[in-house]
Amino acid sequence: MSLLKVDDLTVYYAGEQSPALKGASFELDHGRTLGVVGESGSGKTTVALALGGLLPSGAKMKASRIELGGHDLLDISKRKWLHLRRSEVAFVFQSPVDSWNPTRVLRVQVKDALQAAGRSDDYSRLVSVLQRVGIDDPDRALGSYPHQLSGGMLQRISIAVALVHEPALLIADEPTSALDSTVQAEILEILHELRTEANLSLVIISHDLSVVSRLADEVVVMYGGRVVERGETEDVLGLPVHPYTRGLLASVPKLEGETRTPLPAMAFGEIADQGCVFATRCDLREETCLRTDPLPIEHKSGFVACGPGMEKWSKERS
Amino acid sequence: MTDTEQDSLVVGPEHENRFSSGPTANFAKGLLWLLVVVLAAVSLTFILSRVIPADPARLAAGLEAGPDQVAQVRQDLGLDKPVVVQYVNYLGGLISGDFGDSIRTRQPVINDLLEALPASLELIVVSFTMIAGLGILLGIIWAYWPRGLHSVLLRIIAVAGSAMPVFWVGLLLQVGLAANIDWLPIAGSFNHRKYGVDEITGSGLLDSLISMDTSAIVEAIRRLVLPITTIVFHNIALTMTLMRSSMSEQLQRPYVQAARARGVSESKVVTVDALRNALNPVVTMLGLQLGWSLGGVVIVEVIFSWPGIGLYAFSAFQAFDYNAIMAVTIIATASFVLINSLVNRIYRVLDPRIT
Amino acid sequence: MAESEKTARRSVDPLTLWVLVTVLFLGVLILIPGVLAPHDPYSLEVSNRFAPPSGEHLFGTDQTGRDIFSRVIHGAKYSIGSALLIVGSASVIGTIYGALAAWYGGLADRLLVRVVDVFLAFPYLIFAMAVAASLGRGLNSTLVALVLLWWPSYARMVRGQVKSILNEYHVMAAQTLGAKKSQILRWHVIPHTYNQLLVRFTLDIGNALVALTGLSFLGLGAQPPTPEWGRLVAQSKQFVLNAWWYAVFPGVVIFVVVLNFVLLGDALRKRSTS
Repeated sequence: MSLLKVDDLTVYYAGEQSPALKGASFELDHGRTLGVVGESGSGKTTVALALGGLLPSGAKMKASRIELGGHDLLDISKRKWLHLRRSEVAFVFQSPVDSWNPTRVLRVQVKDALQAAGRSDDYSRLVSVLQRVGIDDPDRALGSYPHQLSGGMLQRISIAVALVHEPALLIADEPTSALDSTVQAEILEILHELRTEANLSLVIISHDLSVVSRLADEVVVMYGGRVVERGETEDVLGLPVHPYTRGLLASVPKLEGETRTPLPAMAFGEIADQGCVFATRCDLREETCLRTDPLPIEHKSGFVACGPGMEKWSKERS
Repeated sequence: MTDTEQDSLVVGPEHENRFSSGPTANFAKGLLWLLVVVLAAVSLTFILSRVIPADPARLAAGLEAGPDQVAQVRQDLGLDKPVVVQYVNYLGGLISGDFGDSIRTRQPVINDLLEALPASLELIVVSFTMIAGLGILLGIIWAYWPRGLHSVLLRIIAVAGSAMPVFWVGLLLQVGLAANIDWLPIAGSFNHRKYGVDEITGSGLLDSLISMDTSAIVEAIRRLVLPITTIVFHNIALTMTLMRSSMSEQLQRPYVQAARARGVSESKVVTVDALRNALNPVVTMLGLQLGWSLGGVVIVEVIFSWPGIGLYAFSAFQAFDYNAIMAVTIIATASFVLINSLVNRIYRVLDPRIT
Repeated sequence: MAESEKTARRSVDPLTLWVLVTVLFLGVLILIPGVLAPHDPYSLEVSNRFAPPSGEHLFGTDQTGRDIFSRVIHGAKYSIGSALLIVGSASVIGTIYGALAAWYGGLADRLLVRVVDVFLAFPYLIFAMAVAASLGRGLNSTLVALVLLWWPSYARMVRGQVKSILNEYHVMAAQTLGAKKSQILRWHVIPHTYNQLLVRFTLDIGNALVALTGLSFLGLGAQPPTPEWGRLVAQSKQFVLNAWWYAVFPGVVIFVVVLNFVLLGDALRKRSTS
């Protein structure tokens, strides 16, 4: 049974003509991890915010269906969203330093969150979770101001606070991008372990393919606000079909052998209103790509939104 | 860029002493700074007082005085001594709170000042409370709901309030609400004797409150309405707009988003998390405003014949009463420095990153 | 594409036009007020005192029958002219001192910070009274007092800006290439302060006008029969019940001029930050 089901999700920000997210569909089963990959501006953060009711005021969200753990998320009140954020869904954001109010001691901020969930008595539980994520002296850490702790420490605290509600779904938006690479590995390890320990479903959003490939069972590749390819991680990242996914993988630096192939650059404001969003950067572009939206083609466990890419892939296989 | 910001926000030497050790060192430095500024004010006004075109002895002796009497007064006031000696004598007097005598009221300036101070403080305290309270509240509302009719209205108030000269606003209010329709007294402060209220604090509002006489209280408030409205209308723009920009900047910070994501309620996110940080620049600015207020109430006190320090300074200026003008300059300067060092302490409480 | 072409064809952008109109209009007001004023601002016509606004006297007449509209127009020279003079001198003195202090650092710089702080602590109204009481009443002593208290804020601003510009790479590059100190200051530093200076300058003309008219309202500054604007409002005070127009129109003019500079300064600031 799936925990999260999103069908045809579209988001417009206030005062913007083109959607930040258009027609995104994906689902996620209990205990599984979904990776969302894309460059900045691809709409991946919008997905995260939309799933928490955190879109800025004035943003419009449409979908044919969004469900989380049996709750319908379409057109629900702010109060209901608040309730969901206190029980079902939790977040970890990109910059651990910026995720905490710089002028308040961490303990009071943490208590605000626990109180909000009606679980002020969970403080002792939080302390044990903090120890679990590698904070040796929780009392001292919580007695500090954010600027007194390292990014790694703060991100551990963010994770612990997110998990203390025992949410069904954790959404981690670029959880390691702002950290040193050694700390990055530790945080990923923690997320990896907690997933099984707490029977947690995880949405991990990142521009970094190595992060996604390490954690995710399924991958959604986003470009220009659309989902261009979706499937099991080994399918999508192992044998990519969409020219964008291919480009993304080819641009990853390798230690030996062939040099990396840079992805054709994107000029500012180049995303087309009409046709395939990737068309202007695509080497497989056909004339129809510029005019009509590519239809999703079912492929293995997921789909690919690119006809020419699918053809090329089949040719290569045969 | 950050240098400019810091420079414009923090006045006084405090910002360079932030990393020095301990509160006592800071206190001593603050005190030293107060002395330096006051000495500068004294010296500058003293130098100015010696280039005065009118002969102070002549003025002090009165118009009918003959040359002998003028010479006598000159000797009595020490005006025949060398300027340096006069300067030292003046400084010596200051230490014991002696600002010399007023040639207008013919009593020690310090007595005049103490008599006028309560009326000014009444105006300043009431108007400042309203500016701070109302300005912050409206700024928050404006930042949180940036669109709509109220935001247009607030913008008009902000722009008009700062662009309309304060004396004109006062005049218009007098014409509109007092002179023609007699709703409110056109000028003057609370008359203690008329209402049989004892003069305890000197402030009409406080004394009438102490007397618990309803009609006296109403009268004291009626007296305050026009001057206070004038001051608040003219000064609230800064607080309101700064609060708005500071608050909307904070509301866009990731920590606000993160707190919401943690399930913290919207009201708590806004009033506890964002507000606390958004207040920082506003507190600094309010401190500057409060610091300048003693010098800033002059025009309002003159328009509304409010018997405070400002009106006293104005009368002194008209009578070339230089001792009085010097005294007001010194008091106003010293109060600015004092208030600002106090505000810097508040600032430190608000922002723990400044140690 | 089409959009950018459209803006390109509309060769003068609104903001530039606004500045030009303001400068032109004030130029006429200050230099050749006679062109706009229908009457002699000083000619008395006691029989026609307190005439309400009409086609002949747009703003009505005052207690001696002088045309208030003409007086306001001739007063611009004193009010706006003085405001320009104050802000102009203050910005020049402040810029030079601030730039030099930031450039040389050390004692000069520390002294600057202290001096600026001292001046900031002075209440300008009372200080202006002190100056006026000793130098004598009149526009000159008020101008002296205001410039004396106004330049430090420019010095502070320019100092801060220069300090941060000095840390930028293009200045370091010029230094590495062996440019002379004075050259660097003149060509690589000062020009970068112009933008903020212009914004501040524009806003301050409005502020100076408010300060100046406030002082003349109190009887400092210009003396009768000069039709300085603050003076006009001050004189109107005692006749406010007989002649509302006397108090209202000069005030409206001050308000509109200040408003113009406030809004213009805001627009310039938005332009320079975007």
